[in-house]
Amino acid sequence: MNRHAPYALAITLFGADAALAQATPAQEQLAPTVVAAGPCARPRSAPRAPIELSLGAAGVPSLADFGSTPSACGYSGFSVGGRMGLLIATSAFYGAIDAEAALSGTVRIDEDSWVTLAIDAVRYRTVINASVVTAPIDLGATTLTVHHALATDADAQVTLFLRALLPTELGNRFVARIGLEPGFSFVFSPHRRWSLHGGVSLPVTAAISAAGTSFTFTPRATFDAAWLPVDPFEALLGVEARVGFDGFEFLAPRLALRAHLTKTAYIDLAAMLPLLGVERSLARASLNFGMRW
Amino acid sequence: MDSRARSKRATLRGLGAAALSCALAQCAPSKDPGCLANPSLQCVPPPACRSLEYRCDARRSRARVFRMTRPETRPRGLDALASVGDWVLQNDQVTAVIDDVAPALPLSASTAQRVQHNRATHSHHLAPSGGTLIDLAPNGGEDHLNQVYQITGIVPRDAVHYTSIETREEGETAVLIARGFLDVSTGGDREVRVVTRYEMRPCDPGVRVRTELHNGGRIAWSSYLSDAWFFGDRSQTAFVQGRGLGFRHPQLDLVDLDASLVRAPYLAASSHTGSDTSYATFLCDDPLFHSVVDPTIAAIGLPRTYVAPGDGLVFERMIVAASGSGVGGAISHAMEARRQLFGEPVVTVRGTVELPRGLGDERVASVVFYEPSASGGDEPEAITPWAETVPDASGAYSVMLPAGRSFRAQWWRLGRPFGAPQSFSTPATDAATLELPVQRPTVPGRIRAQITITGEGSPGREAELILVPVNEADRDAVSGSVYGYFSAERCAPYLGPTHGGSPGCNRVLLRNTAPLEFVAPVGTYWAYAQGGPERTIARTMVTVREGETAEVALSIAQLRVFPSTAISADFHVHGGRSFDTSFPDNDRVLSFLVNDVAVIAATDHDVTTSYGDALTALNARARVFVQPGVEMTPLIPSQRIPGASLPRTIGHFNAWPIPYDPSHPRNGAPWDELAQPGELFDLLRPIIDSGAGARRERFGVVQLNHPYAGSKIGRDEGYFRTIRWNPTQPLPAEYSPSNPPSFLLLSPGGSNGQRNVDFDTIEVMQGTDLLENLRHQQGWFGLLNAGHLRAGTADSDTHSLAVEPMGYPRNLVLGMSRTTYDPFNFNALVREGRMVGTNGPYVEATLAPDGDFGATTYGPSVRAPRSVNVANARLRVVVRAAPWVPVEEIRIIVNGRVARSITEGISRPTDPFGVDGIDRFTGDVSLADLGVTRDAWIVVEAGLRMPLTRDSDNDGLLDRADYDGDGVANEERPPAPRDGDTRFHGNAVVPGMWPWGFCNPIIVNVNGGAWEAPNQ
Repeated sequence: MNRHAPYALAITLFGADAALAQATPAQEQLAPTVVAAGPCARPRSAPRAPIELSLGAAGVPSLADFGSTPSACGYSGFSVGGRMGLLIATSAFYGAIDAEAALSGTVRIDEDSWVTLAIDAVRYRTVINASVVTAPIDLGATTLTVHHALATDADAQVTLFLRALLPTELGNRFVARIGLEPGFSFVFSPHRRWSLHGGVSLPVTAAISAAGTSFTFTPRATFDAAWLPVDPFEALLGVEARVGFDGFEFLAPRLALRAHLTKTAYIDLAAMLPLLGVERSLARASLNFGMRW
Repeated sequence: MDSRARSKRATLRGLGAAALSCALAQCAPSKDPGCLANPSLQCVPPPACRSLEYRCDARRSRARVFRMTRPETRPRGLDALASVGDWVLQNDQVTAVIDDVAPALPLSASTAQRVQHNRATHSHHLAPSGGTLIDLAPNGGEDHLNQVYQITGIVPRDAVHYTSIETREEGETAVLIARGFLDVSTGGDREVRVVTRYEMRPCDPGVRVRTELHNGGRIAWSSYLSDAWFFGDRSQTAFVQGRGLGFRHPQLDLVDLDASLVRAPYLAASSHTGSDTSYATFLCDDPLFHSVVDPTIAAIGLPRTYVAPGDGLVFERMIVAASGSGVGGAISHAMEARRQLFGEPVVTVRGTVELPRGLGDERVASVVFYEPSASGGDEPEAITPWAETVPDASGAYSVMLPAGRSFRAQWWRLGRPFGAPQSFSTPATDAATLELPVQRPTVPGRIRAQITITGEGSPGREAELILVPVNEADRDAVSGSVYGYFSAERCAPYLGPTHGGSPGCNRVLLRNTAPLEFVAPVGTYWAYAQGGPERTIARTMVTVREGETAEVALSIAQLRVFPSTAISADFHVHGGRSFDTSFPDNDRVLSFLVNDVAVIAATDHDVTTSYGDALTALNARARVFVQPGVEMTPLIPSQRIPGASLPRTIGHFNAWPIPYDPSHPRNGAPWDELAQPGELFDLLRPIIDSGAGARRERFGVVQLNHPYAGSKIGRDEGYFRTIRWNPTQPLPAEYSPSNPPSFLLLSPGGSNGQRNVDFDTIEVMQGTDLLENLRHQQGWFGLLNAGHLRAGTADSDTHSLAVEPMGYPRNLVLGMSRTTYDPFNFNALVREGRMVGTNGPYVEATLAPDGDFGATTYGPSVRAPRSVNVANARLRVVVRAAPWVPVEEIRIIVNGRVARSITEGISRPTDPFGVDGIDRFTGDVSLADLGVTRDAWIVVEAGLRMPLTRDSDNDGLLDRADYDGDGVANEERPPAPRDGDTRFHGNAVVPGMWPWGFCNPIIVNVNGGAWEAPNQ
């Protein structure tokens, strides 16, 4: 694909004024040095990133970072964190909590490409079905994501990504779950303290057993606005929408607070609240520490 | 590309390779997943228990599956439920029946949908659908199984609802596949799909079962995939192999399931009736199952498991049956299976017991095999029981036990262990046989009893013998139980299983004048003879000694306590077809004859019965008139009641007559789940009134049973309790969805449907618990005060010989006798309330509107208010009772309040065993003296002095009484009376009896015009 072609998409997503205003100068900002000073970079903060929180896919609330929108900005780095999800249906005598210790590492391959490996290294799940309670602790899913920046200018960048879900989950008896998630993400930063993030992805999962395979397909989109009122603190507010075979799955407002401890290190606390749709989860939250450079 | 970049790419390639390897490893599940990956589960699951093979004469054995087309092919046995349309798996060993399926009924179903569903559904008991195992009988034997169905948890929506069945024949294997999902009617997830394969091969002593569950839903589940065995309290007793187990089980705690769960290799069960069948179940792919076992229900299944969306479970097991008493037969099948499945070496242990007579009966000799505790002790909580068996009539017994272990054999007789346990070790060699030394136990004591009935007018020669320890201190020494089951019922002396046939508990039925001989514990007893409240009682002291036969000869006399124009009736009677008793039909009919109850509403739980064969066998058709009916016993909590955290059931309702038709599911009784009372009435009326034809609009009777009974395992047994009606508060005048008591006024089936209050009669006396009956009476009085005039009844709710004795209490339906009995008119009299309810005293109330008892007078009726002139009107009260029934007080109740209590002028017989002194009181009182100034209803009751009572928890219901006479109402039950106390003899005949009789209301219209209820 011609790396300038997505400008049409940028116009659609960001608005004609913003895109067109940057179009001509951007012709000169495609060099790697410009990328470093472009929409992804800030003087005293880690690279820009959306709210990196997911509701998984195929009814599994956490499949590492499967079903999340990655940063459109390339980087190398890692993160260590915890996630937690909650589903309470008192009238149905049902409750579910999951918690994961998540690890993620990203390696920049070149100026336009980077790869992320993420894993739910320790996964705790409990389901309370009236008084029938289970609480397994096991290894969760692993994903491998390849990112490629498709177009960049001074204020915006569009990145394609392809994520593979690898079947490292140990808690299943009869199925191995794999998946593929193509998508794109973008960042638009008209000001050093403001940025907009978004993305669309098309996650497909397959539950494979010796007797056959069943699929899920849950197209999803996110849009987040980030504001850095005062260093080192950044606030993000956004929304995620997802559809699936069951129809509209959810519309989830989400928010995050991020503290940029150094130019590379950060801590962020994020949460999302699925509303509407058929999704029954009440909330999902994460707390991450990471370093990106 | 520089070396750094190459290195990164190499790293990525390595990660990818590792991920692919991991993926491939994960794709190799440990079990055959069958249909689990197919969301529709439309494939055929693989065979169950593949490595298990039973051998027999293969030329004779062929397995087949077919749909039942004739009721005659139903297996024998009172618990058999198969009907036309159900599915049969059969070989030369056993017959298994799976009930047919029907589409799920939505909770908001219309009356038309309910009627249509009721015609189609074959569901039984706790299961929300068919597709469950309802009958399993050895060929030539009897079915004693209530039901085995599949659950995934403890709430109703965790039960499996099957919607389709298909059959296959795979070579010599007969296969039936049921497909469904979690019960959507109660909130289950339709996307959690379940397929169960039942199969039978030639020579199999049971049915192999494989259940596959696939979570196709959006959320993860905690699943306890299990077979639920519905024992129903008293129909079968469960035996679980394990330390401290056997017939002992941890108490079921639905909130803390962990406290109840045990891991064990097999469960067995039997019913302890004469023609018994034992059952056992075990897993085929795991040596131990996870179980909770309770007298009502047991769950045998997989460990509780987290099932992620897309994942599933496979559950393979076998359910076997064997003829004969005790659980040993089925356990031997289980041991043989475990030898094959898990390579456990097993030996056969044989032996013989020598006794002059009586063998083949659990009462005389049975044996439990167990491993002693690690320290060699015999403490019940430390030993490991393995099997129990009953020697056959020749004294021979045989049971399979594991090889190479040390065991003890403990013999049991009359519900108690006797003799020292016998130690032995099984050979270490698989398939060896160990011959135990011949047992020559001491010969038990026996009683030969004969009761004669004298006097004129006795309809028969049947009577009951009841033994009571002379010294209360001896009670523990002679009490017994079914290996600890039912010990709370305190049978002393223990003559046989409490819920089996005669002799049972401490009672024996005697027919005609022929003497009957039976074993009894060594001791000294009062032997009572009784034949109902219209006969005298007699007693004698008898001493039973080991090896000797004591003689008991007693004579009782027919009395004339009740009017000749009254007929005795019990509208709440259970027999062996009820899921909570195994009382045989012949003994049940004999109990009608003994207690001289002429009309029976046969009201088994959720199934209709006629007692036809037993009536014929006992030549009783001219003396006992059975109206087949049903006790509607909803078991699936489905009703949301404001203020209640859990869904409720709606209590129990009786209905009769229901044509007995074994070709129909439940013998013709409607399915009673997921409905409010009015919806049930809409279903019932066309059935119970079908016999009316052109003669009358109404034929049948619908009765609200024990309205304030409590709940059992979350199932309400009384509707007033369900709707939390405080009877001291007036009923609401209108229906309000937020006010549960007002639900009585709702027509849930629509404006043309019946209201929840549209039952005909309400059970005011049920069994013997005085406080419970006072609560029922509070509800009745509340209804009357609200203008819902319903007849009050008095029923035994008998399930066995002892716990709720037949005919105590009973109804005396006025205006009819045996010779003029006609079911149409009889039921009309019942609906009208022309009845007296009593457990002994007869209470006659007659209203003379103008004060002249020689002119027009009126008796009880809830349908006909009587216009009176209060200034002149008088009420006459006559009380009669057999001499052994104490009467101390007469109470005249106006609009629910005691307007007059009479204690003076009541005669007391000098000899409780005599025939004199039946007439206790005759007197009359003016309505003005009773304080009647406006429209009112009047009930008269008589019996023992009513103790002071109170409501201790402010729910409006009486729950404490001053039984001990200390002036403080703080007891729940009366103390056991001592010999010489007024209650002693009555308590011997009917444990817990508080003599009490009442007439139905006389409705008096004082104001003219339409009658106005007190609270209107």
